[in-house]
Amino acid sequence: MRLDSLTRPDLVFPGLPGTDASTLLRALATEVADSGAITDGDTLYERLLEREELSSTGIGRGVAVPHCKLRKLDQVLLAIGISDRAVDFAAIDKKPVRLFFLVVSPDDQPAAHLKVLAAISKWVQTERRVERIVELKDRQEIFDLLGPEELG
Amino acid sequence: MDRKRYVVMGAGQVGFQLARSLSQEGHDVSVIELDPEIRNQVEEALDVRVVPGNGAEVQVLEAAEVGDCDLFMAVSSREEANLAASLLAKRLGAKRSVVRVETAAHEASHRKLYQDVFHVDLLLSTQLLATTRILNRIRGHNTVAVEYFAGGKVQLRKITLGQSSELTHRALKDIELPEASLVVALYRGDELIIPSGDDRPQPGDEALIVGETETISRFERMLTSQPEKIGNVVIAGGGPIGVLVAQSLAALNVEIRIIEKDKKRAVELAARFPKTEVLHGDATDLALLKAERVDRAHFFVALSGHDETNLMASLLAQELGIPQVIALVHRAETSHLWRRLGLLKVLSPRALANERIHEYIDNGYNPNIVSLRRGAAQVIERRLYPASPAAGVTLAEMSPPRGLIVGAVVRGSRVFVPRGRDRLEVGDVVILFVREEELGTVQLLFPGRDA
Repeated sequence: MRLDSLTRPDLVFPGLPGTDASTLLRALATEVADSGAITDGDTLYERLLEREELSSTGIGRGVAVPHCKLRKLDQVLLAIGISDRAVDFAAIDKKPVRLFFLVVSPDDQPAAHLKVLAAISKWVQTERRVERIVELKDRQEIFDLLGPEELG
Repeated sequence: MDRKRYVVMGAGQVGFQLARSLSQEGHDVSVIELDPEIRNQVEEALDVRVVPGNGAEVQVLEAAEVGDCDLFMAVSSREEANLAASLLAKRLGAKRSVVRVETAAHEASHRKLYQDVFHVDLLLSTQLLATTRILNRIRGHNTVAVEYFAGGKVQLRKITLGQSSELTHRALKDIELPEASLVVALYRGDELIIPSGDDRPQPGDEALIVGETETISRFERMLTSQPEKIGNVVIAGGGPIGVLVAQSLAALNVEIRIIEKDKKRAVELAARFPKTEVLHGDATDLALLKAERVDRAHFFVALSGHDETNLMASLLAQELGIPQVIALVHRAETSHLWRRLGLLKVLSPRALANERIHEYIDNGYNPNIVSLRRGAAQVIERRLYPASPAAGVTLAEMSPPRGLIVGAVVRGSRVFVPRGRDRLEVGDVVILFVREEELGTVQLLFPGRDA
């Protein structure tokens, strides 16, 4: 699996505003809805919050992976958000977060959903990757950094 | 050195030794003790603060200032008082607590419940510690430690692999393991491996094996000394530890005989172990030992509640030429005298408790045996919620990364070690073995707090 096969440059959102977890999630959900990739940004935002309540998706190294499943979706959707400022996301290593991988999957494809999450977790483990990507401003450059690695 | 504050409740043998070693290491130690005579002894011998009274009373705990202590150790011989004191101490602000209980059943089957209800961080059964150590001696030092999960239904064993072990020199995927068991970690020198099918265990590795408690002894049979190599074992004293030892050995098909002095107890034991010979008699009676040809045994284990009986019976067993003699000593301070008598294999449940608590402190207050190596790996119990990405997915579909193993699944009253085709369901509790680097993956795939 390649992360760049799940997204496209217009689903990359550098410069997200916000100083706390919920405003950032709101901003990211709104951007994704505005891009036309999904229809209902409010529902998306609510589902993401529900999932965060179970436990934070902040997986450490300054990365969070907010995710949920939605009905009437054809395939897994990945969007990338980079915030201007690092925000507290109750991450497992307590480090503030700047890089967001938003994963939305069809509700009848649990295995595909899980594989994407595992692949992101693997991508993040490469040294210096996160530090490099959050400094980029250009959508295409950010997109290019996601590939072409095969992540199992 | 970082000076810590410790409070010890009960200055019996466990408490006294703990207070002595911790205060000698330079820590601030308070000791709560009910008995004025013991208090005097502590005051004379140790540089600690002594608080009179019952540790299960709030004002006594307050006087000992448990509120900001790093560790509260309820190690008196009164189990109920220990549990109550732990609950109160935690409520008053103690950071962590250790509770000593007598019976193994508590720790094996209900550890989680005790931990939740009484806020115990480390529950310690002297019986279980002693039993594990005795079995190690008999089985050939292979099991390093045993830990229980899921209400005792799942057992975790750390086993040292020998030269001839069937587990070594082949890739894990090519080794036929008994059903419902799994190798979840390998310790090799300083390295900790959460293995995949391609890893090859080596002699000298310590393997961490998870399995259903009922089937794990089959695994052990495969890995360790064969029953015929162990030979005949005579257990003198059919008390709680004797029964636990007999149970485990019987599961390994080891031939055992039990000598029990109390007639009624002997009848009970005979009913409980139908395949085992139970002799009603006195293990210190040379005529009986000779008449029953106890000298043919390979192991003689003296496990009665009386040190004098154990001493006497062990000396006779040595005299009869039994190669391996193990004796239980309840008064820990006399064990060096026993060693001088030639009874090298003496073990004291209380001394073991002391060791275990020190190990817990040295490991940064981590109660799990597998979290050694400064947290390089952890055991995590997680419930599956509707929003858990792992719910509805088979193990094969998941193909977890190297460093993450789903060791066991608790579904209702059933526990199993999952295989590729098994699908995880909402409501399952999974027991995960995870390397530090994969904690983030666990956070994503199995969200929630420890079940």
